[in-house]
Amino acid sequence: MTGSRPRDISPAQLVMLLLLCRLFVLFTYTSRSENNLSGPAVLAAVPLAAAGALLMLLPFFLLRRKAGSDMLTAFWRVGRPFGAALTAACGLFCVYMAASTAGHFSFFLVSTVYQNAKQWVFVLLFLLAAAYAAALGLEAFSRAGGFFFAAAMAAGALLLFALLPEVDLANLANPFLDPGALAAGTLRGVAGNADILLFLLLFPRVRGGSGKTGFWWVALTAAVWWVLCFFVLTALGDYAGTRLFPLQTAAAVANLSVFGRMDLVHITVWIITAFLRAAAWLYCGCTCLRRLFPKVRMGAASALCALAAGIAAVAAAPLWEAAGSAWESGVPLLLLAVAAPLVTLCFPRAKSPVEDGKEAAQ
Amino acid sequence: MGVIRYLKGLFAPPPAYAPPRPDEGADKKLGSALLDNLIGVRAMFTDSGDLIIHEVQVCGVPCAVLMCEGMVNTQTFSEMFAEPLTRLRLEKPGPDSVLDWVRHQSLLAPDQKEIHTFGELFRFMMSGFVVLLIDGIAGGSVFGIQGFSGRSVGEPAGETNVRGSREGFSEMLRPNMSLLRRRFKSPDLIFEMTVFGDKSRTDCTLVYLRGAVSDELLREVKYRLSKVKIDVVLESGYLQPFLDSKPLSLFSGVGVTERPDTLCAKVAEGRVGLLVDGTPYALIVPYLFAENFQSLDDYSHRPYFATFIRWLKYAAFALSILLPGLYVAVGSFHPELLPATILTSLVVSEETTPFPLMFEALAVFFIYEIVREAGLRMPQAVGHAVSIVGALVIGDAAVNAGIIGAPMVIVVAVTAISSFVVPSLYEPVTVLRFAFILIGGLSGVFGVVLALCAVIVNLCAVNPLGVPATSPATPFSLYPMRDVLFRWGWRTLAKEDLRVQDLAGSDIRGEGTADDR
Amino acid sequence: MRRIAALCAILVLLAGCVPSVRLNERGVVQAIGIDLAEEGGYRATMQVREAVGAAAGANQSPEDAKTVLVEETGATMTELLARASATQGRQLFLGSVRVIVFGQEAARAGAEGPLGFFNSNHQISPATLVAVAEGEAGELIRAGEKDPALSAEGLADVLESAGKGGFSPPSRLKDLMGAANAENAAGAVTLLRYSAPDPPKSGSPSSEASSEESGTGSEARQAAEKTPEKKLSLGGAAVFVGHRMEASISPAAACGLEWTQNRAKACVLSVGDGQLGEVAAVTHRQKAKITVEMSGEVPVFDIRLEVRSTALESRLLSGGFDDRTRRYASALQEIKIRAEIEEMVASSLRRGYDLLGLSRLMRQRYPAYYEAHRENWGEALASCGYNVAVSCEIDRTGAGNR
Repeated sequence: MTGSRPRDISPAQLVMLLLLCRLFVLFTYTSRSENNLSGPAVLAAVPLAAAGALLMLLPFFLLRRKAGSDMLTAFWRVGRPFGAALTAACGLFCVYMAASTAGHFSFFLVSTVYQNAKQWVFVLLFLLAAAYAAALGLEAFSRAGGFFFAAAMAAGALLLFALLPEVDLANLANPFLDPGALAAGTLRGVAGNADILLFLLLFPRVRGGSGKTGFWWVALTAAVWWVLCFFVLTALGDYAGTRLFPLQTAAAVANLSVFGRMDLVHITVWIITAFLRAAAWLYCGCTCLRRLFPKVRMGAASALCALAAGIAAVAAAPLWEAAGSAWESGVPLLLLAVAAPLVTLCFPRAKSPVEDGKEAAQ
Repeated sequence: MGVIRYLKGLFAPPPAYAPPRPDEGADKKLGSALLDNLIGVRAMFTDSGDLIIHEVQVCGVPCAVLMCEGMVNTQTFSEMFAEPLTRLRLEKPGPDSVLDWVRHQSLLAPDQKEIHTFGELFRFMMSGFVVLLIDGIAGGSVFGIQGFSGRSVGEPAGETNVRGSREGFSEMLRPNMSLLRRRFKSPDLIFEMTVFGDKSRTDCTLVYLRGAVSDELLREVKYRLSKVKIDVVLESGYLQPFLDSKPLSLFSGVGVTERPDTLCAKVAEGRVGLLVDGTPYALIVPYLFAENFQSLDDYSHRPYFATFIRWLKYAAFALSILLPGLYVAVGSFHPELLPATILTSLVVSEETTPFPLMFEALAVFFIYEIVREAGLRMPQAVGHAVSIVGALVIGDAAVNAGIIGAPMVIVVAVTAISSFVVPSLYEPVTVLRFAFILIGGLSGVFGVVLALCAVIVNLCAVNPLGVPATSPATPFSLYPMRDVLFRWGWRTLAKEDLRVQDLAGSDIRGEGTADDR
Repeated sequence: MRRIAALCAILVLLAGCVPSVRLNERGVVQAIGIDLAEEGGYRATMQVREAVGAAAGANQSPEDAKTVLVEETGATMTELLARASATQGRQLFLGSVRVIVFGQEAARAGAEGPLGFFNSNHQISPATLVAVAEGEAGELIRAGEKDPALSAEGLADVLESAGKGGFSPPSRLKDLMGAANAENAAGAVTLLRYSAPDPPKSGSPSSEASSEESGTGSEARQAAEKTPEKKLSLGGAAVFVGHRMEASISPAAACGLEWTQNRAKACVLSVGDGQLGEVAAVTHRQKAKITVEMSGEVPVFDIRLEVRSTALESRLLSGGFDDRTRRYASALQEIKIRAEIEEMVASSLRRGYDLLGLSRLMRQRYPAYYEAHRENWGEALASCGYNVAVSCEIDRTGAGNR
């Protein structure tokens, strides 16, 4: 009690945190992307992508049986170079995802709300706040995630209730009419689910976590996603394809008596989900960094990761397109979340009796 | 021998958790020679006009009675102390027999202790005790017949209730303790006396309920208090930062109350209270964020009304923090979110005012804080001037002169009233309000929401003495939530005792907690 | 403490990086009329709400804001608005736009540019009302300066009431853009007519009465001819294919369109003939269903409609409002509604304009047929069969309680 020690989170907190992180992706969907939110195939693609995500979690849980909950520790048990290389790769990926979150978010802001502002200002402020949250520790921002989850669900329910008069079931179409689009959408849904790695990196910090945690996360996320897609599809129909951000458009269309336009609700929820997501990715980046350099303090690690993410989000814009395309192929995620655990399983040293994942020091 | 040691222990001075920096001679022991003792007292108490020393003969034994002027009840002194001593007749007069009579055969005062050092002598004398020094006896006796003037028990100024006790703590420690004891007639209610302040030697009392409090929590509280190194402790606020886990956080993990019933309720939940002599404000640790919205009235009203008032408080808190910032943000960056009628009104009012919304808001709230602070500090005789100045000058003349707009006055008024609904959060609310105005004026709703997220995470990071400040909302505990968002009826509340160490996310464990069940 | 100081310093240094505009420096646009400019490009006529200047005094009421007309031209909407902002000395704010009116000429030429601009501007809500004016939109907007009924609020009220009453389709930006973006679909928005009523013929009692009131008959007639009073009325609906207005349908056909889309929720049905008298009812329940079956190689669309209404007023020629009268009135309602739907079919579907979204239905039910006729869907639609079946019932009545 007289000194500080890391505090674990509950499975429910992890599920809520990751669900909100995933919601950010939904909010960020643009009509220009091929995984079109308003396309009819999305209603079938969502549950299929969820099944794919569960499959991607299997290698980790297989590794967990032999080597404990902490994947990074298992990497290091195989050997120092192996562990260092994979930890560095995970860390860079985390920083990239934080940069991606900041970049996407600031793109939305300067596209819609602040059309005359400079993008770097939003990246700076955003990453500053996210770094602060990451520095306070997983427990702090996952507790905040509980509040934000309740607020997001309430806001979502209000939004959907306000959209009810606009719902026209005639806008629904058979999702299986275009198998090609369905398959492509499913694959993109799986490949684009970077939060799988977030789950793997945060899982050691869950008190009493099990496979059910992963199942509940995937299932709840898919359910929320499906409901939002359903409402956007039926309320906006073909109109969604003319706007850059369909969900924001649905919020603008939703009109509830004295509340008027619900844009503010949408913007608020989106900022919250973006903040949590960036904080989570920065925290995981800090964790990886501190595995490589244990003497670095949490605050300094958080600042370093945020700085790197900021530079990546703003200055490395020419590389962004290439990075984005590589990312959307799903190869980095497959390598880190699927291949790495499977390869680690092959090494007998990794299968040594597990110290509980609590050695993941804060 | 054991009995004597036990008896001596009864009269032993309370443990000091930190060795005080000794005043000159404070640790010097009292000798058996009365004259030497009196010379020592006069030397240490030089030039102070409130020292009274009476040298008397009790059964032929030279004695001295010491007291501070104005601190002793003269009638009680005369009837219960002076008269029995002066009328005392002993078979074998002598210092030992006088001491024996004083200790074992008389009851000159309900509170009677033995002292051995000059430091103890001064401390008790300045606490209103009468000191008796007997020539030939090393040491002295002190008798608690205080009679200093003090404020009587009255209604607490800051925590009024519609239905409930009108008693509040006063500045005197022992009457405060009696207020608690009357409400909690259990031997498990423990008062641990202690002293803080190297120079002021202020009496303090730790209050806790044995069996409910966690041993680990109690140890941690004592450990933190042992770090207190202050010369003068005049108010409980001096000790508060030492108990706080994060003194620089916006939200404190230490609660303050003026009400004995509130303190009893908190102590019954396994918390530790701290009473400080000289102030009516008691400290409570650990203090959760949700408790700021609870009052004793909630438990006297019907559940539906109490729940409504609870929600009103949450809404008032949100309004007091966010309304000005959101108003500035929406007016400056997102006017499309405003209905057309309101937008027209705002445009008209902005036309006549010289400053942007952000500066207007900052200026008006700054002036409001000046007026509020002036209202607190100024003499009551001219207190009405504050309301005149505030209402006429700021409310009316400034608007008519076109310096500020009428909508801004409405925002200020609503915000100000809302901030007083939850007075315990006034400090963070005031600071946050200014911060949100600044952020809203610079970056719009984006900045306000982002700052709000950072504030919430800051709050969630506070763990006063190992208990999450945001508990039981997050980490979520279902049963304790019956008294957070809603106030269930007493049939539900009484089903199970809530102890603070049993909340989800707490990492203090004492004996007999949930883990042992 | 150092961190807090650093944060404050950052915030202060960032001041000005996110530009904002003071409210009084904005001109709040409430209605926009778009016409084609003579020199090419567009001409916009806008009703802009501005606050009265500071000289008028402090503590002003909302009535001290005035509506001004702003007219500007430009090759694109962006250029047009930039010029208007410059000439007005205020940044035009589009967040409070209630109505966007296109002149018929501009609509027929193609409104892709302006519609795309409005659609991509986040200030403008997708629920903003859009209409087409017969003639010039600018004239309608200009009239709103003097006539409150033609102000932005007035026009918006007209459009919303017409939509709720089933007289015209919901004319929102969202609906128009959605139809424009849909495959093989047509959109419809309200067609507004702002014109003077036909003058009474000379020699008629009304013209003589008015001439007596105003003095010498010839002078009165001249005065009336010089300043005809124009009124706003509903001219049906404008049919858009993509972003271009292709046709218009009559008010009766517009009503028919609303019946088939389940949007005539509280529609007034007044029927009567020489045998019955007059019965006015308001619908309280409506259910329309469109199905399709193949009859050989030709799709046949069945449009079925059930309407339940409440009779509120009756002027019967004989007898009371009994069952026989009720059934007779219901039959007249069926005839009226069927006529409106058939007129809609004739003026839109038979001309190849898919106002009912039948392409979606065909894509689901008979995808092969749709794929085969995707490129010439308009022609296929014109040759389809349409059966209209209407069932009306007056199941509640306030009339007849004597």
